[in-house]
Amino acid sequence: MPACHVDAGQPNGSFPTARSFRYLERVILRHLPRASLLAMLLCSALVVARPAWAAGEDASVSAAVGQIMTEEYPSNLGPAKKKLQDQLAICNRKGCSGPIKAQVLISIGMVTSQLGGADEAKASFAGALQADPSAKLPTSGVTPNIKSQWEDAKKTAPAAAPPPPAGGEEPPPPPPGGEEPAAGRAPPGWKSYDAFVLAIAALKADQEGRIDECVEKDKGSLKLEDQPRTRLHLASCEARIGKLVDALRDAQKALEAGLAKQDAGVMKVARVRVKELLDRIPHVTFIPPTGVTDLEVKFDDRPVPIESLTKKFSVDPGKHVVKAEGSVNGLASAFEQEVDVKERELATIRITLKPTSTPGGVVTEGQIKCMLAAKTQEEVQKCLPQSQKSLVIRVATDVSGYSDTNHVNVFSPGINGSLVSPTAGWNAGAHYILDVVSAASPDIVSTASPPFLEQRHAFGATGGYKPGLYGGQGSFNVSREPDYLSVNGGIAGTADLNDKLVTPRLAYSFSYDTIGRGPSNPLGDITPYKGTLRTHEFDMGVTFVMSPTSILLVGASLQFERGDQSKPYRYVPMFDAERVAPFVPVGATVDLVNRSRLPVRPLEQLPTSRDRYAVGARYNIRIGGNATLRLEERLYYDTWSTKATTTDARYMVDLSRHLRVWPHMRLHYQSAANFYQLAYSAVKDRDGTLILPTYRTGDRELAPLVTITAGGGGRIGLGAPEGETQYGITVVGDVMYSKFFNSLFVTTRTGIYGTVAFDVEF
Amino acid sequence: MRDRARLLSVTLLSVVLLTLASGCVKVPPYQRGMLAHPTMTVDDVALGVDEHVRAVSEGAAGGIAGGGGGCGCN
Repeated sequence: MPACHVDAGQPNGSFPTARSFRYLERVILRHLPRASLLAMLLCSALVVARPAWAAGEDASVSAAVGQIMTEEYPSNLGPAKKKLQDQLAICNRKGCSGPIKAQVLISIGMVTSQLGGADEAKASFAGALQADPSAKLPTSGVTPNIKSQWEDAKKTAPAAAPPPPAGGEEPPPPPPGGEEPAAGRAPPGWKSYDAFVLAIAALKADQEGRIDECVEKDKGSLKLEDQPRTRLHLASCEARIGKLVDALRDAQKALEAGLAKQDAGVMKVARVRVKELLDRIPHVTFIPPTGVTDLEVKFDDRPVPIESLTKKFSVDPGKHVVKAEGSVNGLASAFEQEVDVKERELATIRITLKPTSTPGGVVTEGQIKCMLAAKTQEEVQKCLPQSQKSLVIRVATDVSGYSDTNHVNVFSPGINGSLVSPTAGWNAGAHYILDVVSAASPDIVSTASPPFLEQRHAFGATGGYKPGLYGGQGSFNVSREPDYLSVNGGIAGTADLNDKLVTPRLAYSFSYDTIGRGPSNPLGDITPYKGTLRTHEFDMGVTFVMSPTSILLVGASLQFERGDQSKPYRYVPMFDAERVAPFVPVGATVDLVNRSRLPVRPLEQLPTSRDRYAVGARYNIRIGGNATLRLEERLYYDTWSTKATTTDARYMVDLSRHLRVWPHMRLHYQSAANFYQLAYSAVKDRDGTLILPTYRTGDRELAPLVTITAGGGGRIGLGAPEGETQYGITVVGDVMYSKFFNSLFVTTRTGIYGTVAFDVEF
Repeated sequence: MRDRARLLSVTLLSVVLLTLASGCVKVPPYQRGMLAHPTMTVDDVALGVDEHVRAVSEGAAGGIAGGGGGCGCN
């Protein structure tokens, strides 16, 4: 028979008999303790599990109550009470432990007490003590009233009224203030009965959703008595109707009051409220137009101080209207814009004034289109006729000086003036320069010539006319030295193409130079004239407007020189072709040259024709609105095989409306003319006659060299830039260092030169 | 001779390319205010003896004789 088979006792599984029932009874009785234990365990599990479930509910309710008392107490008493009653309903429905239920009831009591319901508060406290006799008030947020009501509840706890009905299950609790104090008597903690009544009315309005009335009642209460809790409640209502700026101000005042009275409850809530509002409040800032001196700006019809326009203003979210007025180029102009500012947003409003009227009341179609498309104030101003004078006169005078290590010194005063009529399109100008030159360069000293002192007078005049897109310009220049006279005349034409974005220019000039010897001829050999030099020059250039801040000039020039331009005072040393010339060192001194040279002293002789070609570009770009970078590059070649590259750069910075400074750098490199030699040699023919090189020169500017120039300048504008008369003082200075790679006497030259100029324009 | 032809070719090509490129950038009149600044003139801004010193000390001449407009001014 199976040992574990518990049946009626029949070994073979047949229907149980009485004997089997008695067996069964014995089995049951034997196993009853075990079964009972199992049942008890199951029951215990249920019992244990229920508290576990209840513990979970406890934690949830406790957390909810804690949050309500942190966030809503004492500022939002109405909503706080409702939420607490909901938690009590959960406790009653799902079950909470005594301490938790007591916590809820204590919180309800505190809120009700603040709402003025003393008896109701006591009832809640009594219910709390009934749920947990060891319950206590919290350490913060307890007013004297609450403490007093709690003590009363403790005394009458056994007979305390049942806890107030939970919301959601019972009809809603009576409105706050149902248990009002005696008429005319302010309750404890209040000085003004009317203020208290208004505060209660605000709470009621809040609970019923009439937030505007809430604000009105709270403000009325505060006028009578400044209660921090009332102010916090006011801040809450104001925030809910979008008056964030007012809400922040009131929350900050409540915080200050809480700090002054050491009211921890108020301080805690006020801090949270202030932080929340600071995060939510949007801001507005303005970009004012430039050049408008009589600007007035209003934001929602309230004036905005001009000096504060670029600061950030706190505003309420929603729609606002910005209005501005001022004069643009003498025309009354206005601006109006509606902005919709969202919470947390920083709105930037660019004020662009547009004329409301023009002289004579007429604005051209082009001006209208231009202004409508304008995005900034500068663009609008450019659309309107600029205030122009009919005649602009400019006079300038300058004094320049030059000195170098070759003992060449130049003093050069000058004066120039111009008349320009921007409206009629004509211009005229003239200049005069005097160069006083003293030279004792090695070239002169090596020939035993005394240093010389001479003057050069240069005069020039120019005039042009450009009534529209096309214009012409003429010029005339004369330069006179004792042994050199140069006369030059030229014409040029320009055109404005592609809406003035492309401006080509063609020019031609002719120079006629007379080379002679004058009284200062060191040899005393007066020759009426040595010869003439005629130069035809063609210049072409195109200016491109590349962008609103940059322009590019590309140009080329062709010069055709015909005539003998050899220097009449420059003698070229000759050396023995085999024994001396190859060994003359670069930079050989005057003494060495004089000791090594042949006795012959031929004059310099250059080719009588020279074609010169150059291409160049100049790029100007305005950077940052207050600086201009000017870059130039030139490539040169001529029929004497001289090749050169020249790079020039200036960075002109407007440090203020009156002061401009700039550094300057220039780099020039050139190769030698094809007939240039360090040491020329002369050979004797069979007759003993010396054969000289056909072309010979001692001009270092025909030798390979590199020149680096560095310096700078500055200009100070005197008086207001927009004044009728403008004055300016300009000072420039440069240091020039030249390295001669294959020259006699000197291998380097350092020169310094500068100019001080004064100009006036009216 | 070859160098001269090369120089001229480069110049002409540059002018053509830049003319074409210029046509792609349209700068309206009201955006040309900065171009009228005194420092943006296409003319040489050298003062006093600067130009004369260069003419005497450098063996090269010409190249950029000065443009004409440049500011797109009205």
